Amino acid sequence: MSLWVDKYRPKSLSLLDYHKDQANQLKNLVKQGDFPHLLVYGPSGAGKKTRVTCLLRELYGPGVEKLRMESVPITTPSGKKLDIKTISSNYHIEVNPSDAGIYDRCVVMELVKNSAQTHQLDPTGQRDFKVVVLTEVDSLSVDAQHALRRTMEKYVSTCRLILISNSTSRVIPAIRSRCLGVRVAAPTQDQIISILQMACKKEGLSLPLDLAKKIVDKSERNLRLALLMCESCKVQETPLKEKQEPILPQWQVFLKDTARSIMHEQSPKQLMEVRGRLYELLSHNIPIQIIFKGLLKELVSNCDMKLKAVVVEEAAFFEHRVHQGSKGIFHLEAFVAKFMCIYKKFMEDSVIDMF
Amino acid sequence: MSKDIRSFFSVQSSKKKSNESDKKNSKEPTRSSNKKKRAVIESDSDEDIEIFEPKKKKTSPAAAKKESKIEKKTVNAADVFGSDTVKRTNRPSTSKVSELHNDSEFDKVLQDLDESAWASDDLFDETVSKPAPKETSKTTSISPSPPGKDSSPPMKRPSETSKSPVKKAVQGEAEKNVKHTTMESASTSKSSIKESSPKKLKLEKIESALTVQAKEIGSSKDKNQQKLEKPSVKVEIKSEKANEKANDTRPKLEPSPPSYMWVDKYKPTSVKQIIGQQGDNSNVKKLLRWLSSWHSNHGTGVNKKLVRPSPWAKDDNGAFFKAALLSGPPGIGKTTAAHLVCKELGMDVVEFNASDTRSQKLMSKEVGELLSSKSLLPFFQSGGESKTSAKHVLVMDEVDGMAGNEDRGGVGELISLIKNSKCPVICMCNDRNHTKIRSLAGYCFDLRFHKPRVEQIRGAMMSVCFKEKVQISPQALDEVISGTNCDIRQVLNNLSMWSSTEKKMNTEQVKTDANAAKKNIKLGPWDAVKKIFSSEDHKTMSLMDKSDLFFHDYSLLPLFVQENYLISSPHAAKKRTDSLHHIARAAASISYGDLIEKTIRSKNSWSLLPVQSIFSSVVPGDWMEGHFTGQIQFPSWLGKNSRGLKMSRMLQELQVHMRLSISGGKQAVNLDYIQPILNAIIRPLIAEGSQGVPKTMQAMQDYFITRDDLDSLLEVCKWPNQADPMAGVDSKVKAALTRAYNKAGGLMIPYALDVPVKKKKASAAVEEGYGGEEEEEEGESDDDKSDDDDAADGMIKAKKPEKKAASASSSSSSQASSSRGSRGGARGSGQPRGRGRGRGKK
Repeated sequence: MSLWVDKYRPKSLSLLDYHKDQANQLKNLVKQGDFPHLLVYGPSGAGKKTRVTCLLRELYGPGVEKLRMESVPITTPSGKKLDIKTISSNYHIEVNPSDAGIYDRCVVMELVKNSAQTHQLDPTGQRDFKVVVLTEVDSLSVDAQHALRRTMEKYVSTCRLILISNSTSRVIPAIRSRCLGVRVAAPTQDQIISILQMACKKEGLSLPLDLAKKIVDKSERNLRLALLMCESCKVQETPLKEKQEPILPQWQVFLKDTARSIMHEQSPKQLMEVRGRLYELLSHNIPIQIIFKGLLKELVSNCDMKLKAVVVEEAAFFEHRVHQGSKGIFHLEAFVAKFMCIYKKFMEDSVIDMF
Repeated sequence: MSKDIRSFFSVQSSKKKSNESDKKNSKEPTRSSNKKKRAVIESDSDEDIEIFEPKKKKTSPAAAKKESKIEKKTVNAADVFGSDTVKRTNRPSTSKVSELHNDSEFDKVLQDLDESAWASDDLFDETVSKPAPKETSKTTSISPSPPGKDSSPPMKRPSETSKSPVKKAVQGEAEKNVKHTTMESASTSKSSIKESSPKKLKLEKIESALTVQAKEIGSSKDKNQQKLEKPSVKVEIKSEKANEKANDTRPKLEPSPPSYMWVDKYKPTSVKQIIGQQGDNSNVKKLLRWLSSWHSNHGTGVNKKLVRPSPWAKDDNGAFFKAALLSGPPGIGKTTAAHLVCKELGMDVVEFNASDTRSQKLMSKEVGELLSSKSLLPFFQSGGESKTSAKHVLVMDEVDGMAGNEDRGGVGELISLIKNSKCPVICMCNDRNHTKIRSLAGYCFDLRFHKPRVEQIRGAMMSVCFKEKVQISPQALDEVISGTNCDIRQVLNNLSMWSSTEKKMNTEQVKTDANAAKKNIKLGPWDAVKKIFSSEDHKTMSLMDKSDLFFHDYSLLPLFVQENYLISSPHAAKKRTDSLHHIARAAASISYGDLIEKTIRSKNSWSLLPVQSIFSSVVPGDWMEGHFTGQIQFPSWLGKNSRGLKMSRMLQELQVHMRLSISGGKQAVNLDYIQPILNAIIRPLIAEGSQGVPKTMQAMQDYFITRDDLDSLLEVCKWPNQADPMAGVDSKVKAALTRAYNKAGGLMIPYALDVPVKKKKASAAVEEGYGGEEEEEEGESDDDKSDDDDAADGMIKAKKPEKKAASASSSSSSQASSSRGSRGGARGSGQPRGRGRGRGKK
């Protein structure tokens, strides 16, 4: 009784629903027998990992689906011992080095290098290389990325790396140039609608087009989110109806409320309250960029035209500072304070103008 | 010979100095004669003390001289007596001694005399008082050595060796007679000196000095202070009597030179004088009561049942505790209080402070010994009657100073010492909340000393000023007191320093001085943040002063400022919009300060700290300067941050656990997955009650969510203003779920739970597991085929109950480890693997 997302996930390249050209190209790549390092990037919920899984299956056959979880002990140079959880089949190993936090470099050095160094002994194996999948590469520290680059060159005969990240901007150029970039764009609205309808059909339901559109809008072309929302709609009311409102994740609701409370009143006391809400969001590990984006979207939509540019500029200014600084809340709060100041002044001025 | 002379001087000078004690002891000669015999017997013990008393100078020079003098002696002996050894033994030793002196020490005499020539005039005048100080110091250093010349083991028994010259070898008889011959011997020695010293001029002076002294010696024979020096060569003069007196007066030897430190001079001498502790419920009174009732509460043979008082009990007398912990800032009289209380109750203090090494070993050894032994003091004070009733108090001063390698385990040992202690223990510390102290505090009667108020100190200080004839106005004094942050010791030190230049102090002068002293006071972040935003304080502060506030705690203050700048209402802002403008500017500055902090920490550029102080504290303080409208809060950032880290850990664990069935990373799990999954698990429970339990179990199984994971899932999904999703679930249903969960023996999970992971690591079976796994898979798939079929991706599963059976059969892994890897490894290592078609060894 898995969720739909997991239930209807395609298992081979030929079954993929969108970016079919790209799927074919990957297929051909595999057929050639050789295979460069890959850097798969694209927004969240676009199907990067699904695609990589299909690729692996194409490479090694169904044996790659026999997964196991292991925890590998890693000793850092300072003597600290860490356990890194890996998922592996006989042909590949998947690691998220950023699990180790600031010790991600040790993971790259020890684990990746070790598995890259060893040869494939089994003659029945279909390929003479194995694959190391690294996820969340964009949160890898620069040190770890540098540790990776030499490994990539040196052991290219025994091992291929597949790096998965959301954006290439935080991957150092040295690594980008060593990889074949595969961009997995988010599916278009129509693609998502057709996928949703297909899923509903398999479940024996019919999905009204209006509801599907609403879902796509709310999910912001995140297929995973769209499917999850669709399923929760089904739970809400079993024959799906057009008028139904898809349920947003709680953090989004909370974020919207926060923006609304900023619009509602501008005062030091209110700022204090907003701070509490922002803290709540941050401690729930909602990425601060998403908070900025969500707030801005909500605030700008309620602003007068004249203010929009100013507010966006301020938001950009403080979001940039978030990246430079260490304590996100300081900058987030500074942005809110700035917005309150601008907005209040504008409102008062316009009131004066009226008389 | 020079020694002889100087020792006379010293005798004399000491007399002048200790006039008082002389008067007191004037009756003693009579008593001392009665005690003569015992004194002789006790001479050994006297020696020990003598060696100790002359202030360390004695041992080293004496030892050094001993060698050289012994050499000289042999030479001299040969010269004077030839090889006639028999003669030598029988010979009257007086002459020998004098001769020895003449030869060996003559040069020295001259030298010394030259040095002290300036004093000779005074000597003639018989005033003698002036040269005294200088001479004393010399004698103390040199006088002990002469015994070395007379006999080879000289240090041991100076009284006897010294007797020998006088009484000609027969020591046993000597005892009785020596006393009577004192004066005679004194004169003989004088004569010998006269004969031997060729320099007449100088000798005349010396002579006269000697006669003066001899007179004095005769008249008042008790030389309390100095008899230590006497036992040296000129025992001829001093004789037994002096020694006997030494016994009586010993306790008074403890140096009572007038202290010129006001702190010592005006130290409280009784419990009542302690500043700020007069009240009936004061800490000192509490301590006094506790200590006086200690032996009735915890003494040997007492078997009282004492109940641990609740920490909030108000008037607790501490009867439960065997130790007391005095805590408070420095300079308010904790140590004084402890000592005075002990004194008042007539208990002996055994003190250990930070200057003593207090490691576990030494503590148990030394302290244990000390507490089981008896004090020697009563022996000296009461003429030898041993007091058995003396009670000890162990005073552990500066407990928070127990640190580093040397004192390792000290606090732990102290706690165990307290538990088994047969005497009261008083501990003292400054920082009551230190981690080390916290463990100790549980075993102690907690007495917190607070800073006395300014008025309390003022009274005492005024009386001190009066006694010292210092004129100071009460206002100025208040300045001084508040300037030192109510540290009594500091106030006294400051007063004495200032008064040394002028006796009359004007208020202005004192104010500036006090302000100068004030700068050294360390403010806590609470006080500092108050000053940062206070427009009152800003009036008198320069930019540097403002930025200095930041440095009271540069790691915490940025957080304090950020937390509290919103509750300050800026006076400069007239309208509401203005205040928002101020806030925005302050917030922008704080945000910039964070950038600087990041640079400081990541690039180690600590020189930027002043820049950070401007942006993180001065600028926000300036924009928001006004008054506080609310209470200053502790920075919530710290708490929120650690909560965020905790959530992050839980999310990571959830992601790892669900990884086999989902595709997303940690962030995707957080943003997209957790809520639908939680709903999928809980919904059946809400909708169907107990009937829904199997569905819930299935959902948990599908995503490999254990009971613990469910809890963290609930926490991660929890938002304020939102009902607990589990609230809709009946408690009976919850219990049913738990029962079902336990009955199934948990879930079949593909990962190792945390606890067994460590064991797995220890057995290093991970590597082996690769090969053995496949085989296992085959063997087991028969048993749980249905499960495998269900699992779409054919992943490896492990069932707990099975595992138990398996581990029972294979003795190697006795612990029920939930990891397949370890099991495979344990088995695989035992048998050859037939069909292992894994990747081979990595």
